[in-house]
Amino acid sequence: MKSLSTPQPRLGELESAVMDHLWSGGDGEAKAVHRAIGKARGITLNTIQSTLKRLFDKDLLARDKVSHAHIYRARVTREEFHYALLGELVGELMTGHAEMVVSTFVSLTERAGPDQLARLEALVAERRRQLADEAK
Amino acid sequence: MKLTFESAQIFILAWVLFLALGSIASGVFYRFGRARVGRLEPRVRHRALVLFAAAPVAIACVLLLAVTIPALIAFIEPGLDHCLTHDDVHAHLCFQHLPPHGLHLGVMLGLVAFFAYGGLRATTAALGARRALGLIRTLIRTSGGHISGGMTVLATPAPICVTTGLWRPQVVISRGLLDHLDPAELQVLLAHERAHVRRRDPLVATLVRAFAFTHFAPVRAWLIRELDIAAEQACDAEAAHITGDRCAVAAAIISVERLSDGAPHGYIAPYALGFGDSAVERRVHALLSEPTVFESTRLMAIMSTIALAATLLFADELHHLTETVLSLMAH
Repeated sequence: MKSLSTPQPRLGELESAVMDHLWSGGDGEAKAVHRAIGKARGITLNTIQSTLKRLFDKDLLARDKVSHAHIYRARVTREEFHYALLGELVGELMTGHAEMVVSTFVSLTERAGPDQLARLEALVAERRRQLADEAK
Repeated sequence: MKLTFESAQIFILAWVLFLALGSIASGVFYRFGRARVGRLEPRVRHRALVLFAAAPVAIACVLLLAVTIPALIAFIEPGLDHCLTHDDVHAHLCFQHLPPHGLHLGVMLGLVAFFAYGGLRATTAALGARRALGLIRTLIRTSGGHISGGMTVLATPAPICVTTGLWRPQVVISRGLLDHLDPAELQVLLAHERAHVRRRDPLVATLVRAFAFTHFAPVRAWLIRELDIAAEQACDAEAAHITGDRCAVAAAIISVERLSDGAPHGYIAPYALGFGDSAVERRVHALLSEPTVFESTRLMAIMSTIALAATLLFADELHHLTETVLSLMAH
């Protein structure tokens, strides 16, 4: 997996929709992006063009000039982008800044360790045997 | 009613003094009462810890209200004015008589430093929380609308599952975790996270961390850790109730912990310090033992009511005592 430099940019609703369009294999020409996501939102082609430019400036898009138009494509995959953002989130959890607004199923800032997990698994198996014996 | 800058200073100093008393009381409770809290059933323990977090501020506000009562009575019925018995240099907790002068410069600077430190801590925490929420929002927005079982699914192989959001919490799970869980484990995970959503645990955790500032450092560390574990155990209990299998919940916790072991994304999460220390260990042990019998917090409620009644009953004496202490401190 490609390692992205951090921090990754935070994206607004329209920027996310544009990235989603491109990640889903949509055409990267501004007019095509406008047809796909701009018209339904009632926004102009100019807004889409400036959004694409902004994403390009944020290093999330690359572009090729074909004739007079820029054709945009994602520089990173959705998986790479999410992986980098999750890395940042774990970093925020480690410094204690995020834990107040994020609750994780198991703690990402403290590990139980393989020996401890093996012992706990044995305890669960033992408890299941006990319950099965009692049910007989 | 005259509430000048000078008299406001006296009231603020009294509140800070009472806050310090509340912090000392919480330290005493931590020393002698935390074992009792640990025996409470998770949901009750969580509630008790939330109340405990707010205790210093609540104590400060109740005491300030109590010492203000004589001043309010004197304001309504001037014949009951108590200030006439004082000498002129006495600190007046009063709306009628102005204090002869403001606080000593050193005390003023102390108060300013106290509130500046509190403000700085609150701002740092709020900015951190804002960064984290911004991260989560971007993750959700770029998920491509992939939703499964009411959860937003992230396109990443890293195994992660979080509940986040203060007002409208939602569950976010990664494809990496979904692909590795069997249906029974997924049912547990869903039930657990939905319990967090229903209980609004992120909002409660934020409020408790805001109040935790008023406790001494060891009490604060204990309070936050115990609150987080109590919330997890309460959600484990709900998941066990829904699935009808406490062992399945314990097994799911171990599975997800094992999957998460390699997922700190470049950050090395430390191992728990020793036997029985880790949250996972405590949660699994709690699930494998018989469900804790509900232990009433009625005794705590009765004691709090008696303390409140006594405080209001002796409001006059407390008022004079506070004025004497403030006179010694402030001038």
